[in-house]
Amino acid sequence: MNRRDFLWRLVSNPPTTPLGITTGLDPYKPDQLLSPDDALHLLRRATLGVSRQDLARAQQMTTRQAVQALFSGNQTPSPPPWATIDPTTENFPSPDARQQEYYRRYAELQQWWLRRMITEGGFSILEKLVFFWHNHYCSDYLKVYYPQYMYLQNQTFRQMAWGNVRELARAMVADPAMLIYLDNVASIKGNPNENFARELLELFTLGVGHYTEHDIVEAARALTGWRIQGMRGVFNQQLWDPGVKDFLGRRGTFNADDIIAIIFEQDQAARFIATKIYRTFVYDVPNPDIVEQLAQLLKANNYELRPMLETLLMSEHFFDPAFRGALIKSPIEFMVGLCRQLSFAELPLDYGIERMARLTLELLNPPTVEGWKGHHLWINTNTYPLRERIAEYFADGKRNDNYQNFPTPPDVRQFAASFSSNAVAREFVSDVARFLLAIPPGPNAEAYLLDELLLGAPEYEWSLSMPNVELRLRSLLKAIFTLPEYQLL
Amino acid sequence: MKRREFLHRSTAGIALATLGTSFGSVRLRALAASPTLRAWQRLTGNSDRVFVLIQLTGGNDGLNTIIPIENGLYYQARPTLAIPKNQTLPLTSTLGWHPSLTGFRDLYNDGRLSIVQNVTYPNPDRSHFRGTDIWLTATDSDVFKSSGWVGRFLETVAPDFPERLPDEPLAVQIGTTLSLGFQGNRGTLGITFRDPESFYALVDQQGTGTTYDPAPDTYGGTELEFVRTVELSSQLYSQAVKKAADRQKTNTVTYPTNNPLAQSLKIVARLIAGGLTTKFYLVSIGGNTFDTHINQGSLTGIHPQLLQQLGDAVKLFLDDCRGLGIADRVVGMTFSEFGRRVMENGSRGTDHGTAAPLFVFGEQIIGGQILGHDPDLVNLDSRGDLLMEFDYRQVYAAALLQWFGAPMNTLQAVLFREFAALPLFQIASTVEQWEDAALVQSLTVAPNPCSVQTTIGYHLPSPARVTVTIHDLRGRCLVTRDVGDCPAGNGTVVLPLDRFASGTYFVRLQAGSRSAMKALFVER
Repeated sequence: MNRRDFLWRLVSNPPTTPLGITTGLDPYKPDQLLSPDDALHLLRRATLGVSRQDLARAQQMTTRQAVQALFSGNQTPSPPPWATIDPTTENFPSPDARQQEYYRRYAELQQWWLRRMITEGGFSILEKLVFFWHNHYCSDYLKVYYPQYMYLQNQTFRQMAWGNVRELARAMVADPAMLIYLDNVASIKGNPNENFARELLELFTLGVGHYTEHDIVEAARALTGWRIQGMRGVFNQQLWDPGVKDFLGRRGTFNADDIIAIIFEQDQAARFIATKIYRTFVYDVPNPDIVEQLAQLLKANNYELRPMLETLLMSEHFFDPAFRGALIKSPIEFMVGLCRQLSFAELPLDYGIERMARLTLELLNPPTVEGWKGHHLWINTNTYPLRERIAEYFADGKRNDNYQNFPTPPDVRQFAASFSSNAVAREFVSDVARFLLAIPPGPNAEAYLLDELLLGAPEYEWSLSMPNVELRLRSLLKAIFTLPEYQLL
Repeated sequence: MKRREFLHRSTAGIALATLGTSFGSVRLRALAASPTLRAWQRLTGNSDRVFVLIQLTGGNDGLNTIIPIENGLYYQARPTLAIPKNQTLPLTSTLGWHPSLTGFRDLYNDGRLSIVQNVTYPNPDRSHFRGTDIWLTATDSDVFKSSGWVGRFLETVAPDFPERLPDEPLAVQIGTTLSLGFQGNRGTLGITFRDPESFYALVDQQGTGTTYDPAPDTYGGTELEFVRTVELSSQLYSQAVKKAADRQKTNTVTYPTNNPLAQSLKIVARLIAGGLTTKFYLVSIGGNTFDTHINQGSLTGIHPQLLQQLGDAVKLFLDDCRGLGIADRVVGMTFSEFGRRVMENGSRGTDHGTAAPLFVFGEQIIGGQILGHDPDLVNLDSRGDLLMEFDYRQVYAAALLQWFGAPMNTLQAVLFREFAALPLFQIASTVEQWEDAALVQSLTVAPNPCSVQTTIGYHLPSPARVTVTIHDLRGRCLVTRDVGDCPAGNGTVVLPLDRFASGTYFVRLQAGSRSAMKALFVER
């Protein structure tokens, strides 16, 4: 079928109600061993990239075991050396010198985080959730300025990654980075600054339409009085507005604790987070029934995230074939995914950070307080060709900014050897494609991939010991990496 | 590697001339002779008209942009932020420019910039997210659409999109993400890139050469098709953009490298001059920088720097357009998701507000005018924010009706209902009839706004036969007064307006082969 001979569907406006999806939250084959396709789907969605070892391990597990194993990982890694120094105790010869050192530290922090994602992101949902929270409770390093505070915030996300959602919101009230980023650190009784209150309601907990402008004004009054002391946010009663506030239908001399408590009494608070979780792990268009059930689960578990997430990831709905390949990789899943898929840990970290920034995701620097909206916004005429070029050079073990080699290239031979079908070209190509792509290639694409592996040699001659096999393997990888399917999760 | 096939593209391109047969109403035209439909088609089949959108992200503080210098309430509300009267650049007896806006001041005085005051919409939203979406989707504040006004308009211009992709992109955004404004009901009608050279270098010009297998009938399949569309667009359009950029490798002014908006407009100027048939360009001052909650700055600081960047960039751009010979084809507007509050907050900044001025610019605007009143600091909304005078869609309506010559039913499809287009842009004229700058300068309409009658004043450099006509915003001629042969020098015409309903009209004076036009406001 010719590329243009069929009518394009409304690719940008899928139906708002999922038609024909009947799967719910009942467990999917909970005590059966995972099939390769199901294992890949689970790991693609729940981690930042699937390696051959991850897949092999998952196939020895039941769905239940695999999902539970995801809630692992080092939640207290060693911080960068400067991260625990109180910024108010540091002296620099000049403001410029301080700024230069802070920029240096920020680069180091970005790379520190990227290294964690690449080397410790296997078979773990931890770093995926850390980024989820970074994209939810947004702050950026340019405004926050003090690197220690951005580290602290990142560490809070790590420690509370799948913990209590309400407690995390309360922690953000006192979070130094957040206090600076949304100006609550300057908010004072008599002249409250509304920025944090507004975003707390609009972006962090309830969403547009579930509060009034008056609620923002009153919440801002209640949230006055927070300042930063050393490495913590502290509450200064003298600076707080002690008057009576009307907030979400309640009336009282509310403070921050009260505001958080009242917000999370609303069912909408559970629904709001459940919607985001759904859109992160299942599909960009939320299914209202499933979201409602997830929200109720969250509330029933006193806002502990893990039970709700486990239920979702073990569910028939999550494994429904309709959703395979229905998410678009963020620049993180793209770059880290490349590394993990080829079991490659030698990516120059400055290069990784900079390329992701070029793909419009600079770690620690969300574009606005709304965060990265993602999905279709990741893929446009600017970023799509760049993804193709980055991946092509990656397959060759090179950077695509200055074309220098990586310290060592990805070991494509070892990658190929891990496929039991590697002696039969046609099967090998199919298996590699199915490992790397969330939507299996059709007959035309498979024929093209086979050509790219053989590079003119006859099919029967194929083996891993043939001459120039690495060239051929890289050629196959490049061809797979530049299929549109490669951008899907 | 096989070459990618480029299947038959739309060879007709998408010229506005193809819209000719669907025109409904008569347009206002600065013509003397009776216009035929064919002549009209020739004029507005002027498919090389371009509209430039400049987005100021974060919510621009209008009150410190155009300062109400005689209003004591302004100075009371802003003890640290108010701009002192003697620091402003003169604009009117009651308004002053922020001193950083020398670029805008010069353009305004030159007739290449106009101001629309107090622009917002009913029940305005004060969230960046919603506010920006509303401006881009051109909806009421309680309506949610996932298509943008430009996207919807371009779909009427390219009715068989996306089955056939136009030869060249219909809309271009200089940047890295694609605006909701360019999203249509049937797909994305715009492309984004940083600059033409790197765009071309990036795209694999050869591709796989295979035909796509059918996408599965799943949501994954839907997303696959989306990525495929982007892949195809990248290939098609990187070539078109490069061709245009290669035809025009230089600019006629020097854009400072430390002015990012200027650098974006520099590219836009080259592409237009290089012949790219793109109709809409979007550039922005991004990063939410106008969201000045803290330390906004009055004479120095964040906001003044942004205003300087804005004014300088637009001035340079329009001067460059003159130098490149494209000035008659290019107009544009600024927009921002909201203005800011009247009272400053406790952090030497301002919080999210409502109405604010916006600017239209270009050689072919009805230039050097201020539509609307000075901001009313007495009658505010329940939160103490400025009230609406004009709906932003009245500016969009003007762009579509006047600049692009769209028919009324297109306007309905794009904006969902009728809006009274503000008199902002010059409708295409015949080559015989140009607006005469001196005549325009001399043309006075007083009182304006008026209710019972108004007096047109003019100065003729030489004797001529004078006719005065009044038109409504849809172009219909309502009144013709044949004044007759007049001598050189000053003259006046009194026009009774008691039959006229409240609203906005055009007054057009024809003196021999010269003409001039001004907006006329009737208030009852």
